[in-house]
Amino acid sequence: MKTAPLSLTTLAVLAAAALASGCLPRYPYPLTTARVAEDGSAEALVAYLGQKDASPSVCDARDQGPHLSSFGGRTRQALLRAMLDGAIDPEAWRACEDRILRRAEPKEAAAALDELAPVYRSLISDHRVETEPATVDRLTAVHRLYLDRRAGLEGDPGQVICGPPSSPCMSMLDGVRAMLAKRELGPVASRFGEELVSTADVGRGLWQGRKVDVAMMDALAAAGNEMTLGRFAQRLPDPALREEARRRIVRVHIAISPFPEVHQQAAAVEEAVLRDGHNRVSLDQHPLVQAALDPKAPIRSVVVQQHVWPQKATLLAVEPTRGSEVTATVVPELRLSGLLWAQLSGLSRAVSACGRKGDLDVDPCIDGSDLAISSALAYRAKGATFRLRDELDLGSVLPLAREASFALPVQIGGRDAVTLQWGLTFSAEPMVFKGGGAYGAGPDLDVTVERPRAERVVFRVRPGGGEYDEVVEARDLSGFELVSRGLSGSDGDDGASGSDGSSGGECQDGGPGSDGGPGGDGGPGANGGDIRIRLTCGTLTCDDLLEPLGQAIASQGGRGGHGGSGGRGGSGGSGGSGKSQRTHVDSDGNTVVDEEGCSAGSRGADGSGGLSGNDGSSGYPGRVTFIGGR
Amino acid sequence: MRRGWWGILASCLLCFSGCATRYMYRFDPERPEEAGDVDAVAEAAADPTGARLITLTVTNRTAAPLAVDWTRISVMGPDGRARALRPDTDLGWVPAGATQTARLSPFTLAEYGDQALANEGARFVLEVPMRPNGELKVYRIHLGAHVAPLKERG
Repeated sequence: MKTAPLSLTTLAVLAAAALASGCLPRYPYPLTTARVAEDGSAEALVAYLGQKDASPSVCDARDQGPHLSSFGGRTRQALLRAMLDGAIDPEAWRACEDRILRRAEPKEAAAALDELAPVYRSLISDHRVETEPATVDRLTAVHRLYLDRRAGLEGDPGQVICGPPSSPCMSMLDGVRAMLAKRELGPVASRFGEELVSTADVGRGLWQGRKVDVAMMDALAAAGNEMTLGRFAQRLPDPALREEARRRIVRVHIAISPFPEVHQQAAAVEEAVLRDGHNRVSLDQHPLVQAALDPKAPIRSVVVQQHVWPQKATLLAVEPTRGSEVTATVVPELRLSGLLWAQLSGLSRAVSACGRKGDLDVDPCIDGSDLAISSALAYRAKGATFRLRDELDLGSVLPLAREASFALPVQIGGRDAVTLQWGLTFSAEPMVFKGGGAYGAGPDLDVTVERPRAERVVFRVRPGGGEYDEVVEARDLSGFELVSRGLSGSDGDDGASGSDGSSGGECQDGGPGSDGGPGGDGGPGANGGDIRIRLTCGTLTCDDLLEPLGQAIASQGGRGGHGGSGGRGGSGGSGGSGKSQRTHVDSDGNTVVDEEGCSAGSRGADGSGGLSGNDGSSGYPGRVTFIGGR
Repeated sequence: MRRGWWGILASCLLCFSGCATRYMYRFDPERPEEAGDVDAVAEAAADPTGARLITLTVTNRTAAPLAVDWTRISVMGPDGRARALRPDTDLGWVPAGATQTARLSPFTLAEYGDQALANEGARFVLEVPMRPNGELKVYRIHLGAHVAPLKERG
């Protein structure tokens, strides 16, 4: 028999201590799926899931896109701590943990459930669940994860939870039963507890004290009670009865479907939905007539964040209505079910993309495999869910510079159907090419400036070897830099310090300090390289670009090195100590001087500080010339 | 001396317990046109501090059973976050012409102090997906919250 302590408080303390100690790694924000998958750590996963629009797909070990490959106990504990601590939204945690459980080996999944049991018991007995929405959210997330787990997944039946001290050790379920029986829970916690207990009864084949059978299911279906049928489909121990429950959910859906086609072919639809999870429509038999997007489709503006030196780009998103860079986050998934509506030939009503198979929707729908987004930047993840690649080679996003907006053209059955238009902006880095080699001169640059659209320019820079490209919004040119810069001169050495003077002996003066040495001169800065600029504005004018380009593109000589500081003069030696006169009184009473005294010696003169070196001369800028092609 | 410290501690506790004002909520319905049409009407009464739930009443005005997506009801608060609510007992269709009441839980709000006071004027939107005649529609019940200090004994 295993025991597990009530660990919520401990976990919270650990999380607080970890945060307070600052030992958690820092990650760039926004953190993309590609980066979190590459990092692979629990901390990166927590940082990623803490962002708005983060996709739980990174928790799916079989996802088409970037994802973590393993989710051991340490990762699950870190996620749980982050959820309890408020670092990630409880619903984001539930969605992630749900995917982990679905893919986990049975033993691993059971261990994960065992880890949650003491947390559940702690949350449901926490009085704050009655008053604090945040605590309710956490309990809701754990509750739903437990109730909606896949059929057959159970924790260790022998696991018991100990605590609080006044309570005996017992299983999580028995603990909740006991608290309900003693009326120890408030109204909110009681409702969670009652649902837990009644759903657990379903796991034993019982509902409201009666054995579940097909007749009971028929009565529930006749009343349209798919809530209870859904519990049966998920939790009944007998797979055959679970299938019977699914069948009745499908029948409930058929009964209320607004499609006459569904009622006419009810039996065939019932079998198709039980087999496939949805009622896929044949586009050969029902070709596309027209399509539209639901107004509640997500509206974003895509920001292409460019990284010049590795020539990479990251796609981010902002909500245009908020318009501030503060709201930049990861690009959301595009779930076309319920967003895309198509009128198909021969069908009485518009249909959408198929949803989750577990929904057992009977209305005709377009299968995800019949959908495509004709953009190299997008891919179909699962079903009718599409995602954008968020870490790309910069070359693959350059064609976007020609586009007014970020377009996601949706195809149905290979035919253009509708296009989702998002805003599009490019975020640029300064392009400062620094000198190198023996003389440090800035490189000569061949720059081509293209103007694919009035509001955007593309720089293609060849510094000798290779090419560096970047897109800049025309309105951002005033703050942009494209520079060939010579290396700065080396700073002169500081002069040597003078020696300190010798200390004087008794009654002697200190010796003088010697002068400091002169500082070295700074080295000259290297020259900037020559820049040749070719403007290719096509059918557009380049005239309005000349001034901002003249300010943005520059050749700069390197700064001269600073002269070294003069050396410090040596300190004069300290004077020797004085001496008192020594006498004695002879037998006649006369004072006899035995030894003359002396005054203390003077401190020696300090040496002079050395002269500082001269600053080196700055390098000369190269020539910047606009050549033909305008 | 020791008794003196206990006295100070007790005084502090009394002071703090008396300083946090307890508030009660009142909700005014707004934009009723979004809560009903010729097919169905949804009404709600919220009790975030007592029973901590929302009582939802759905009336089916059609001649066919009305399916309510009971597991997809949500309430959106001033923080912009939609929170799922569920009936405390499993429910099915609302028969033609009938009215069904559901106790939706959990719905809790702060009861004391500034946290409660911050909800003055807050707007909550209860979204109820229903399928009158099989067609999915989302009915929205807008509730404007008002908080007032609760008079207590003593």
